[in-house]
Amino acid sequence: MKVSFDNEKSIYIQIAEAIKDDILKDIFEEETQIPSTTQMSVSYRINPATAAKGVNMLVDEGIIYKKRGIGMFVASGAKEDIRNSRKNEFFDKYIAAMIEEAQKLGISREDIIDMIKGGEKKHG
Amino acid sequence: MGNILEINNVSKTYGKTAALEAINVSFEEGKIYGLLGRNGAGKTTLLNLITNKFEATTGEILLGKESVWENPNAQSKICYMTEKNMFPKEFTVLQLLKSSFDFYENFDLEYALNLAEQFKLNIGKKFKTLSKGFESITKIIIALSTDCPLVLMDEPVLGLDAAVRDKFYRIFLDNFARKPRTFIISTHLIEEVSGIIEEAVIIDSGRLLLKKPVEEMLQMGYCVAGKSNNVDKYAEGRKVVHSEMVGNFKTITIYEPVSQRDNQTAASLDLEIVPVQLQKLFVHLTGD
Amino acid sequence: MNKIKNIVLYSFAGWRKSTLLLSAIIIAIGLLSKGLAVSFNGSRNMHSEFSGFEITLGIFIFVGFIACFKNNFNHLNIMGVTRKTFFKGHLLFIAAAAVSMLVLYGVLAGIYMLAGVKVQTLTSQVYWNVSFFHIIIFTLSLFILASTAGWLISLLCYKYGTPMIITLAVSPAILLMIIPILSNILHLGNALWAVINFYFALNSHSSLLASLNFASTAVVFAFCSWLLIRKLPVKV
Repeated sequence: MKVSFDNEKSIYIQIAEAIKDDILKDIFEEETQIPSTTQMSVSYRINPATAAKGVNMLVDEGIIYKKRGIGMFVASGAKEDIRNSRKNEFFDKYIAAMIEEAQKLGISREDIIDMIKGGEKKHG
Repeated sequence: MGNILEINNVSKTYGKTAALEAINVSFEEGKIYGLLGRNGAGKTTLLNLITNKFEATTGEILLGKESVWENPNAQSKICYMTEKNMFPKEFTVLQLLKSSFDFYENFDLEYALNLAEQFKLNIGKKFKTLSKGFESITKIIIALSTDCPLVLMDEPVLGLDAAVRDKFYRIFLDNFARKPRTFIISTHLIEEVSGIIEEAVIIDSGRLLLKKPVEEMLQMGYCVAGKSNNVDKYAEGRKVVHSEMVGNFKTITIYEPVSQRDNQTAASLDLEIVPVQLQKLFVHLTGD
Repeated sequence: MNKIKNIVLYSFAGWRKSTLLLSAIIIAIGLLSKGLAVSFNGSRNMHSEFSGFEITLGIFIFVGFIACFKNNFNHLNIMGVTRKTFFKGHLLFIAAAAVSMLVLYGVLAGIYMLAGVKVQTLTSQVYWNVSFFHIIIFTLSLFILASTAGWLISLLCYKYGTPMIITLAVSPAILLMIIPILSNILHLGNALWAVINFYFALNSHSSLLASLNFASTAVVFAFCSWLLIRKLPVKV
């Protein structure tokens, strides 16, 4: 699990997002255990209550579930859920922002499309 | 969870000067608190009152339901890591650890020796010959090895370099996870502890200014940055507590929660909204 | 009470080194005085004599109690010991220290006598009809008086700081100057002597009366110490 904290968002949201990222990248597979809030607290030097708040957010979203006395596990179907919600965010987060930035810079629609094609080639 | 410590209307005056005035604050079980305040705000005075160093001029301090003043039962449940040295001059580190073992019930001597090794502390050395950093480490080890339900630490990382501070925070959080209890950490290094403490208690000129979870405190304000005339437009009619200008780029701190509408207004003026840092908020709150 | 036991043990620990040093010095002096007596007189039958044990040990206890207070009080406060518990522990320590010093006195006197130095007790020099029991009572009360006096002074110095230290340092000299003048002016000479005679029981030559006076003074000193310590702020 990798978190490099920035000041843009609350720490617990960043914890939740880092866990989601790792689920998407199959670092945490479905029905496997994720690190305890204690481990997260010590590794990232944060208050355990903050770590627990991040995890509880994911529990509420149905991405993580608790097994009493054992720990927290990734729910089956979690990866699909995360992917769907990220897709919904994709337009707001990237496309809308891109269009706005392009207007500032005076980049035309065609240029943007060309850039996307070029970028796709680079990344194979 | 219930309160472990209640401070009811406590004042402390020296002659005519008031060090603390009518403080009312309570601390819950199993939480890490940051006690923040500028130099001379009264942080150490409050810790000294809790630990029976002197008597409050008015008011009472309750641990559980018992007054802490001259109460052996209450005092045996509190461990205080002072900033100043209160130990006998001739004692070696090992003797200090052993005396803590003798006086605190359930002091974990094995754990203490283990920590000493982790911090590369030479336990055969006399305490008074230690460097500032190793003095702090010795006191940290004693505080973490007791199982007192209330642990007070006054400037715990004084004299520690960045690497040792990092180690301390990890060991501290590991200790807290193993033995959850109430910690009150008094410190000047606010940004460093802002992620570790759950609630902040701010004292200013002997008065309680604020007590809130850090998360909520950070929602109390926000910063707006962008082109200066746009920022000025945005600032109209708002509670601006600080502004900074570099060239034509201005950043202001607003002491109000940010709303959805604020976000839209800022976006329309091509301004960026960023969260406020605890340290900055603190400076504004306690500023002259 | 486990804590009180620990307070006594920790207080003793602070005295270990200086007590050993004092004993070594006393033994050395005893042997030296014997040696000198032998070499000057050329005969082992010439006696050397020593009678200063009570005063020497009494002064040692007095100074020791002045020195140990601050360290103990601060250390024990940080260990969560209250003033009341500290006071109880210290009272117990005074009793234990007095008995230990009495035992040390016996041991040192024994070593002197083995070396052939004659030991005189203060009790038998000043008072009449002195038995072994009288010596023990007198010496114990003297030691206890010395400890409570030292303790009271250290408390006053801790509480009031430098001004008190200076006052206490200067006051014996001033008193020695003022008392004769005052007694001359007010014709107190006889009364003063009467008080001194009574206190040390010099007229009646009863060691028990002197012991009783010492012990009562010690109780008064201990009570004053309690008044001072009851709410004493810890110097941090």
